[in-house]
Parts: sequence; structure tokens; C-alpha cells
Amino acid sequence: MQLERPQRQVAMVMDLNKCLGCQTCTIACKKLWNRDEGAGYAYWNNVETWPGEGYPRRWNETGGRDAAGQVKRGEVPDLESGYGRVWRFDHQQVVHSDSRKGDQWLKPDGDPSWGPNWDEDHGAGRYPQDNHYFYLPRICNHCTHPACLDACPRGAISKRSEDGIVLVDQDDCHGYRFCVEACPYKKVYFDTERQVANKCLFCLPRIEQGVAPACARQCPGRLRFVGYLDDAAGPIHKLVAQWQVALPLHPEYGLEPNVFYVPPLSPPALDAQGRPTGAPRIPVETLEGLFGPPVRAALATLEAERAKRKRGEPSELMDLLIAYDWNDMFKLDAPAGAVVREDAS
Amino acid sequence: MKHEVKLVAAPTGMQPGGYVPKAYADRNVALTPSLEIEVARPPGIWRIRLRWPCPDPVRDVRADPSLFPDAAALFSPRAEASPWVTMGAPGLGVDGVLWRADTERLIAVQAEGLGTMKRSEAPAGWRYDAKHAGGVWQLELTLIGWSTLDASGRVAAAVWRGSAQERGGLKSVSPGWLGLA
Ligand code: SF4
Ligand code: SF4
Repeated sequence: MQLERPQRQVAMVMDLNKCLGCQTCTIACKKLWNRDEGAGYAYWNNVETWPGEGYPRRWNETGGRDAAGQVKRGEVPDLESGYGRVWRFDHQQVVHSDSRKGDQWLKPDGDPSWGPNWDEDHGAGRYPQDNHYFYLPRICNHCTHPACLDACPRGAISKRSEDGIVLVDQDDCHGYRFCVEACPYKKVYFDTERQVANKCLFCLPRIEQGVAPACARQCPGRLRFVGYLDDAAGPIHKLVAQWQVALPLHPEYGLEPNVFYVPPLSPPALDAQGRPTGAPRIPVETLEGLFGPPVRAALATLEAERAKRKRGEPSELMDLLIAYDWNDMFKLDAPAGAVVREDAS
Repeated sequence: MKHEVKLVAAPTGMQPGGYVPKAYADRNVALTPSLEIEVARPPGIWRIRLRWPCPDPVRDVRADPSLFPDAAALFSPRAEASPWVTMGAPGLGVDGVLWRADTERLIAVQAEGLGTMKRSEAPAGWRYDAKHAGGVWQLELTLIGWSTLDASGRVAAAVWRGSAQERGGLKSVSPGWLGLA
């Protein structure tokens, strides 16, 4: 189904060269929006180690689009082996234990075998020649052609015309979860208590006040840029359209995501004698698998601009990515009359 | 009066949205092949007993987002021409009762076409008793004051098998309206 394009599209760029994997964004989002009992397992924002299994596990294989962008049957991940259940800890038992120091340790209930970040920092490759990993933060992409919206037989999912944010109307949702199945990014969740779908709303009430989402403003790595795609003076337009170094995740699914990534550069791999080979540690094929063939040109641009900077020459792109002034990362025009609280966290 | 109804798979090709018709194009066999409907009519009451095979019942779905409950529904046409296969049409509605194995109360439903179903609290006089034994669900509905059925005397039935993740348009249905009068 082809929707009419929204009048404006709000978007995010994440520079993967700067992500620390600290999960501040995950917690900022979870605490602000998503604390219902039936959604304890659900992280609208998650940060996963890549290469890795992802969250939910194998999300990139279990969605409702194939590599040609055609609809295929997706899966609803299960709690134990797909998402990972919420772990509960008995602090009292440890604190008040009279057993010897070190005998008691804080462990999750049951015997979990999977969870978000289970494979944190595992990555791939051989140490020390070419071991590698990077962090991949993911939120709903507020796609231009959302598979979730297309999948809902009740029309309970909509895309706002004024900013392109994709929302679930929980009053209309009957909990069928076709959206969960169909989203190839697995970014719609299901509240098991309220029996309705639940997903990232791009901090809509903040956007309406010209304030960037909590995940972006609280990011200590300063890697999330927020603005409108069509704002030629804003960081999104510059990184996506002008410099073409920010790319959508899995463009082959055909949904036109509106979250973009600056791919990670990496130090060289080593040969058997420990000498740099000149090849990047993160194989370009790994990045191509995520961002498609344009990642090669994006990496080349990043390398060229970085080299300029190293030579002491100016580079607008590097200055933009370094984000000397945090305020320059967010450019959201507040509607007339809105009060923008600069101290908003 | 007892009816043995051979169920058919609800046609997925006509479901709204771009996903279900394609992703479930191969769902053309009823996962619940048959339904027994037995009707008793004490004055002012519809007492309807439904029995259908279900080898692996799903009652509690709160523990896992991939679980779907067993469910069954009866609809009755509000107009002579209300189509059953699309659960009514604009101006030609249907209404009825939905039972979910995970819910204590019955749910009243109304629809005027696919994807339009509205749920509300069932009238106080609507109750159920459900048992699962020997691989069979037995659901006894006691429905006081279902005026649409009083007037039409006809129902269509739908059964969802939770263990096969049936929900929404993925269901086994009666092949048309059934006369209960
Ligand atoms: S990422 Fe998934 S949930 Fe978000 S808009 Fe796209 S299809 Fe919908
Ligand atoms: S808060 Fe920023 S640096 Fe930390 S994990 Fe999230 S995106 Fe990465």
C-alpha cells in the first residue's frame, strides 16, 4: 500500500562511531513512556551489539518483508527465547543473608537463557587479528511506508501528516498483532496486560513543543541528531541529503525508514604477524548487509573528510558530526506560541 | 435443536490491509473443522451450547506476547441482507457475542464490515460456562434479551484456535447464516 507522503517528516540520524553502548537512551525512554506491567519486556529504544543476534532475537529475519521488499509472513517473537523475560532480583535475600561474604550473589529468578543484550560485546572475528563489534541503537523508524500500518486490519495505526510520526490508537487496537508480525524491524510490541499494541511515539508531545526525544537529548555520546528532513539548514538534511553519509537501516525492505545511521569506521585488521592489513576490522560486507551498497560511498566520504581534518584542513562534515555545540544537534521548529523549555531533559 | 456445522476457513484474501491477504494466502483449510450447536429456548432466553474440537487449549495469554486465546463468536444479522462473510456491511450490520477463553465476561460485538468490529460490555443477562475436556471445548451461552437474534432467528459462527495464533480474520467460520428458530 502506498500512503500519501506526510507534509513534513521528522527524522533522526545516529552516528554509530560515537555510541558507547551505555543504554542511557534505553532507560530514558523506558522510564518516560513504557512502564506498564504488561510491557516490561518491551524496549521501544534498544541498543544491541552488532554483529549479534539483536533484540528481539533474529529481528532481521522474522519480519514481514523479504529482501526484495515483498510481504512475507512474519513472526510474533515469544517472551523466553525471542524478547527475553523481565528478570526479577531478590535484593532482600542477599542483603539480609547470614551466609559468608561472597556466598550469596544477586542473581535473576529462574534460569534465563536469553534477554536484551545477552550477547553484549561478543561481536565477531578472531582476536587479535580482526575481532570487532559496534553498538546499534534502534527505535521505530517512523517509516514512510509503514508495514505496521499496512498490516492492521482495523486501521488502528496512522501516520501523522504534520510530522510523519507513526502512532497506534490503542482504543481501536484489538490486539491481533499483525503489526508485530509485519514490522521487519520488530518495533511494535504488545502489552500483555492491556492486550494492545505499543510502540515508540517519537516523543510526540515533546516534538510538538520543539523539544527532541528523550533518547536523543539524554545521549551522553552526542550521536543523535533530530530535525525535519526537508529543513535544508538542519543537521538531518545535511547528513542525509547533502553529505549522504547517513543511511537507512535495511533499505531493501522498501519501507523508507526515517531513522538514519552514519556507519562506523574501524581500525585496520591485522595479519598473522600483527601488521595492519589496511582492511577495516568491521568488514564492509557486514555494513552493506545493514545499510545496502551506498555504505561504501558513505564510508569513503567519512574517511576523506576525516583525513582532511587530520591534515588541519576544515571539514564541515566532521564539525557537524563532532557536535561541538549540543544545541546544534536538534533543529525542530516549534509551532507558533509554543514554549520551549531549554532545561527539558 | 442440534446442528452439526462443517466450518470453512474465513477467506484471508478479502481481509483489510496489505499484509494478511498476502502473508496468509495459504490459510484455506479450517483449523477447526466442525462445530456442534445445540439450542434450547426457555422463554425470553437463548441457551446455546457450542462444542468444537481443540486439542491444545489456550486460556491464559498474559504471560507471553506470542500467545493468543481460544475464542468463539456468534453473530446475527440486523438486516435481511446483512452479509455473513464480511461480518455485515455499511448500513447492513451484525451484532453478537464474543467469548475469549482468557476473559471472565462475555463481550458484546457489533460490526458493519471487516475491520469495523466494536466491542462493548455484554448485557448483564449474558453469561457463559466453558469447559475443556477430552480435546473438546464446550461453551454454554445464556443470552437474555438478544433482540437481533429474536428478530432474525439466524446466526453465523466463528472459532479461533489460539494455539495456531488464530485471531482477527484468521478463523474457522460457518459457511453461511444458520437458522436457529
Ligand atoms: S519501524 Fe516498524 S513499527 Fe516503526 S513505522 Fe516502520 S514498520 Fe511501523
Ligand atoms: S545513550 Fe547514546 S551513547 Fe548511550 S547507548 Fe544510547 S545512543 Fe549509545
